[in-house]
Amino acid sequence: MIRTLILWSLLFIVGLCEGVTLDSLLNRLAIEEDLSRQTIQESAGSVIVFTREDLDRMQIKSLAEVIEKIPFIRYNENEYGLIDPGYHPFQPATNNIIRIYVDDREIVDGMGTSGLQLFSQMDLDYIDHIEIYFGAVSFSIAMEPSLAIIKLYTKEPSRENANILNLSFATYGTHDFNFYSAQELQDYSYLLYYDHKEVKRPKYFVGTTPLSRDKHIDMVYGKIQKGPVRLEFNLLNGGYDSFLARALSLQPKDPKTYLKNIYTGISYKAKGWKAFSSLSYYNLTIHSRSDLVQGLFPIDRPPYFAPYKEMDLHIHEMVLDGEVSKQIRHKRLELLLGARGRFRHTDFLRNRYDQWDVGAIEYTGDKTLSPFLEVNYLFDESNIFTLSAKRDYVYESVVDNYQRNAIRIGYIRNTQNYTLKLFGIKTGFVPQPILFIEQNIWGKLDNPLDQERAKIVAIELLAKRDMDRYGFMYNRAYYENFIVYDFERKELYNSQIKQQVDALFFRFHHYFDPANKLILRSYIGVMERKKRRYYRGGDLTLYNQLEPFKSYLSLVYRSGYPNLKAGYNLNMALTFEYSRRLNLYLKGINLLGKALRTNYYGFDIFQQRPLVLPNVDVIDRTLWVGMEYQF
Amino acid sequence: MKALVLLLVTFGLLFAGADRIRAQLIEYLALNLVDGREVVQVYITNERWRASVRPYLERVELVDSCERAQLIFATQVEEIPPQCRQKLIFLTSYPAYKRAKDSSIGALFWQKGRPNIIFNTRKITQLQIDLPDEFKKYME
Repeated sequence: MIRTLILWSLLFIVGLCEGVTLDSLLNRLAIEEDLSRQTIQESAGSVIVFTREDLDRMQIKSLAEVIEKIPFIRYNENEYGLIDPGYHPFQPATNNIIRIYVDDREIVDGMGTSGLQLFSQMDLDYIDHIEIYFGAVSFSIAMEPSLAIIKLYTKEPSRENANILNLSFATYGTHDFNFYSAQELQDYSYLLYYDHKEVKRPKYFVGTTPLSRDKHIDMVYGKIQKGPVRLEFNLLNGGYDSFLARALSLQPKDPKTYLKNIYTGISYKAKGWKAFSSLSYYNLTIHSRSDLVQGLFPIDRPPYFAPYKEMDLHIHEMVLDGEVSKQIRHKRLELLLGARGRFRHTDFLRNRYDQWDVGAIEYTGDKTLSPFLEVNYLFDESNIFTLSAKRDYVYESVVDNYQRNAIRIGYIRNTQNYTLKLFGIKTGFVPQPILFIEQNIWGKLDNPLDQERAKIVAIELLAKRDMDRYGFMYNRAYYENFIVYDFERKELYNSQIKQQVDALFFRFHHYFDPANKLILRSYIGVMERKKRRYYRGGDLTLYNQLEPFKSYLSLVYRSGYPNLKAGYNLNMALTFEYSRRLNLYLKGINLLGKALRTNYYGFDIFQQRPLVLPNVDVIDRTLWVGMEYQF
Repeated sequence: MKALVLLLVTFGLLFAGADRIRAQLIEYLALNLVDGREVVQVYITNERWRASVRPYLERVELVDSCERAQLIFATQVEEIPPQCRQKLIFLTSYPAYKRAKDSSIGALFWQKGRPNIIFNTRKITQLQIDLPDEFKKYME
């Protein structure tokens, strides 16, 4: 009986595995040659990879779908309807805890904030694969400190050789049209991408006031590569309905945000040298008004503030970025030496609250210079010691200059069956320029903000056995000097309360065969600030292929957020490969309608009572249908 | 016991390196395109590719001159000496294949981020090559 069972089990597993056919060989080659295998830097931290095949099967529609799978982070949106993972009412934005890089350049919004808000709604059809680094991340991955780094790699023209048209439609009237052409020609290659996206989302009402988070985005991206040189450009034009904006009454009247961004960059990579330079221009307009109180504005007589009903902000910004680094290998020593510089100039063309125009704000930009060094020493084939250090000189235009030191130390043991990683990092987070503007408005620039500080230690064990991969990570982090907003004093200040976070993360991958896999990720985070709080989460994901179908199924779980029920987000995608040229797909997001929600808060300043807009879906229940045609 | 051996062999193949898989592809194509041979002589123009697959080939003999080959893998037709351009040619670049459709029986190349294969229907028919059924969906 037992022998029969074993035999049946073996036959079942063998049945799941593909035999040697042309299809299976091509599938295996696709996996072995996946670009992520060339770009991944295991020594840079803990990493989660979404391969080209994963993204294709997900039929990914925005970065939000990936962000919600990062351990210890939830997908959340602020009162503007834009992503802010650590959103807390009336507190400074936390979107800098995740940094986004496209190839080697960091995406930033205007005002120096992370490009998360700019990028989270965009289509990703020009992206080949995504790597997410977390834990104590190396400076060679990203210069700016953060809890997680998302690295997006654009498609490689030599691997595309195609012109692709993608059309998709979703519930509420959302639609997306994009086209890309990528070719390898005689002595150069190019990628050209255009996307037009209209995002329509369900409306909420406070009284009779409709609240909208609709968006429209047009984007063009292009790159040309010739030998070691790459030229790229990006044009973006976006218009967003700004949901609640910052209306204390929770009843704004049609608030809008408009953003235009032009980016151009050149990079060079050869013989251990890496250099890039880029120039970005931002044009940001935010307009919001209300029949009721929109917010409070400082005045020079008691009670030193007055309610306003309309605000209007218009900013121009230019950012010049540059980096040069050299990698040197000598016997067992690997050295990376480099420096990065950033010059930002900001003009406030309009900064109006009702009749008060504070356009002539003092903040005009900043300059940052960051020399860095990374040393890897290979004791032998299995043992690596790594040390990296960075010093930032930040010259602010309106407050004291900052000098930030960051150091990271690590040890990696790599054998055939397991990998052990140990890292420790000490770093600081320079306040975002937007915070100085807040302080400036309230006339509190004489109370300078110190940088937030963090110390993190992380240990990770990765093991493989046959078709299974296991990963276990423990992370302890200490944070201090948090910048918080005091509603009474109407100013930002550095909190003296220290915060300790302990986090455990487990992951398991099982490959039925190269085309079919199961991924399980689970975590628990314990945060100790004023009191202890537990955060739990995880996801179960299945990628399957049964020709001509490819499928993706994922359940994401998050719990532990105050005043919110635990969330379950069920996503699925089914792709039908009608021919080599035509794919049809169906995709569902938050199919159960039970993904983690958010409460938004306001304040009635006349009746002195809080207002709440509860249980707002930040991940909409959406069904997509689409097609991809190659010509 | 047989099932166990088959299982181990299959697992071994599933995560083999890229060079080994490329070698298997070459062997699989060669044995199916060149009829009735126990061992097929193949010429690869790209030296690096030739060196990387050589250790993994079992039923394919890599030859050093195109004259001795039954099947030629080349990035573009221009790399092949004129006297060998009438042989079975398989290209490894899509732009080169588009330029020289009349000269090659197919191409192995990257498209949409994946390795792809195309068999040139006209050439295959003209040369009366009998392809296995599983190859037919790649004919264009």
